[in-house]
Amino acid sequence: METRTNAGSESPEWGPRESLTLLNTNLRRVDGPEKVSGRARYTHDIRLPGMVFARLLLCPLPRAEVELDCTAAAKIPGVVAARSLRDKDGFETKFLGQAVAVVAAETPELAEDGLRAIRANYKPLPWAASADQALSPDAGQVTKNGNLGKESTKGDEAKANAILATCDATVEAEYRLPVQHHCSLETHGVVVDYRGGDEATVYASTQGTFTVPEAASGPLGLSASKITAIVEYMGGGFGSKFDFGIEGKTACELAKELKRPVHLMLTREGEFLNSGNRSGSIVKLRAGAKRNGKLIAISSSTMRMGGIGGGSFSGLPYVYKVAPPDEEAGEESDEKAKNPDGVRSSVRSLYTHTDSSRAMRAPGHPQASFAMESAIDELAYKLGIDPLVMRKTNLAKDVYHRQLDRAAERIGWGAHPNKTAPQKTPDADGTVTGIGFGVSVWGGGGHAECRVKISIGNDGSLQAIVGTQDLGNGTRTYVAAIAAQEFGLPLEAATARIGNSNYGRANASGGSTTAASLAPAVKVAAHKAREAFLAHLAQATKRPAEELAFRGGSLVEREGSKALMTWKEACATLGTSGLSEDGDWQASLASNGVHGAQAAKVKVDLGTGRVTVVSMVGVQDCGLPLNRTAVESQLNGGMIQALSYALHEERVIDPKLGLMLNANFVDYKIAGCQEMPELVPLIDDDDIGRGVIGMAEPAITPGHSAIANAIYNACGVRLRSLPFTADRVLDGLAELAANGGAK
Amino acid sequence: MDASLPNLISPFCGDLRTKKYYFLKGPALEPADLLDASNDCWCGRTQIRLGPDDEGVNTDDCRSGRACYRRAGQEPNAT
Repeated sequence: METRTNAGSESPEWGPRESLTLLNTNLRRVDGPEKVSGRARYTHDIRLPGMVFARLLLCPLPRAEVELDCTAAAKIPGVVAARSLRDKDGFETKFLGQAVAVVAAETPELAEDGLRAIRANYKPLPWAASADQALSPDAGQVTKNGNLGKESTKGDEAKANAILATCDATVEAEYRLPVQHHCSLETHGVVVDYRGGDEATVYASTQGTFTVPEAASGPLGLSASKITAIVEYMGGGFGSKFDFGIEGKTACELAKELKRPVHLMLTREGEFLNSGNRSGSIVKLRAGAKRNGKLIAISSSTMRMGGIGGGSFSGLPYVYKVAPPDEEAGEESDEKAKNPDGVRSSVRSLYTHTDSSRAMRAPGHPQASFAMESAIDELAYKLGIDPLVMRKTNLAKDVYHRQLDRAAERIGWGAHPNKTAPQKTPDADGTVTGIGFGVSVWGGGGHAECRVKISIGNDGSLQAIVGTQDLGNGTRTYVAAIAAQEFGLPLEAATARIGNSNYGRANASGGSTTAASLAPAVKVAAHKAREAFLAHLAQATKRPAEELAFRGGSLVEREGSKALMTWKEACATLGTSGLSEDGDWQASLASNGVHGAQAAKVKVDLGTGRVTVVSMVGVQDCGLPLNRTAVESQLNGGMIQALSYALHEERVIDPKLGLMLNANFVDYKIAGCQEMPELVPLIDDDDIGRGVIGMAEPAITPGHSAIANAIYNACGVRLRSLPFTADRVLDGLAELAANGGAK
Repeated sequence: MDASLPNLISPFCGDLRTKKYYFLKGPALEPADLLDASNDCWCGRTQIRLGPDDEGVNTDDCRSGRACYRRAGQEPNAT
């Protein structure tokens, strides 16, 4: 198949999708064998001569006055440093898990011994570790302005109330979402290689190779230009690994002090207590619709619970459109359409003495989705409207209609017997079955941040070189694929060299912007390299460059099938320095704005209350899919994380004791093999004509909402707090029985 | 900086960090230039969500007048 998709054009284009030989196909990860064989070297795996291992001592209380004596720890043979992180004797901590001291030793075990030998006196101070405590008048104050942040409001309450009073159906409810943890398999941390002098190398588990030198320069006392960051492999971040962290800063300070390499990775407990989370939310909401299903009012009051941070919440209404109360009366002004009278919202932070939330895959969106999708569903059942129809009635964009229809078809909604009321009679095994839906949105898009070098060696090697990081989602693979495709080569013919701040600059991975920022720069560099190589070969073969192309691993005549020389023979005509070209971002190769719809099918055991997710379907647009397998993996991963959020995940803190009770993978449950449903990831191939767009974020947004709605559809229990544990289902069933059935 | 130049000085502390900070194309002049959907801010000097004065880190407070404030472009203070 022809690979020169835009011959003769000045600027590169992706070309028709059917012309692509590698992109938009199912590619295996180029680093898969490295990872599954254990050869891939993560930051955790770095071992350097003379390296010491460091551990942080974390405050076990939400707020305390701390006095430390590290003398005994420092005397342990093999401990090389044991000290407070503060330069004063007594100090106050502000959140549970705040790092207070560090020990460095010849082995990790000795470092742990050192921590145990520190005499730490924690005098408890009044704290607020839960919402109730934070709102109590005698609560410990988290900020100098109290525990409630500034209120941010939109809309007029009186107008929204007036419209709510005219609705044919209303819902008034409180939705609660707990704190969820990122659960990156590789914990946060760095290895700092500094042995004196004016240069250092920092191996980091980070989402931003190029964020590291600047962050490390202060604590190392070196210019950022003298620091190299290495991020060859990293084990997941989900938004939490943007900052260098106290672990990075402390490791640099220790390395500077000891002039020895320092390995400081958080323990799993440290990861739960001190590396961020998805903020919790309490959403009080009133919504109303007309008999025809049109949503005309929504008034909400939200508290974001981001610990000592502000927390995130993306706002209501989420995705759905609120119509004017009398839509038939005439066209609304643009201003009115954007800010309808029926919308009123208030959002504020409720601070607690716990670790701050951080970015987490689609920050704020899953929280808003849960309240919005639940309310839409509740209104649908009250009005006796098919929940799928209700959604489409209130979604302005056609893309959602086609995606919901596709999800509905695949999950079996058409043949589903109980669309507008829960299943009346359980099956023979005592279970009932339900289906629910949800939708998502994300902006994404690219930035002019990346510079990629394509290098062709006279030995036939083809390299794409850029400092970007691969968070585990397939960046390395598509970088290689774009380069290989440009030259009509198989994927394995190209090597992606990434994860080094001495390579070309790349943006940090956040907001699903990596693919849309990086892929265009790779394409531009590859395009330029191909043009330059063809010009060289035209001269060498004494043929016009326009008559030449790369196809099937050879240099060929553009019109016809005659192979003139193999790729290796062509490369051998280059000088010893080979050929290389740099490429920057090109806006026309990227797009932004993605949409998704998901459906979940569940079985609820009426005897035990256990919810089993049977099937999840995710439909997602993403512009040009660089690697269909990777897009499907992102969708699967999003649905799995949403299922886990729905059924299991919840940070549990005992507010009286101030202890986190599940700071480990035994007690903090995440979904495992036993809970995996049938997962059906569907790429929305009707999204044509757009460039590359990242789509990782929205895949996580609607799944838990769809599961909540499926549970109601199955058994009539409306769960308004996550996670949907068996006891909550049983409580709901008992309440239903007491009240005579589903409302 | 010469007074005749347009306002190129960020009102925010030079140590204020956010996710969006790493995508800036120029000085952050408004909170929206720094705040992304996560609403997460941290201090580049302490590397936690508390400043050197143990108070919270955010676009309202990390400005001139706070004891630990450092204008963007100034040399970092000792940690």
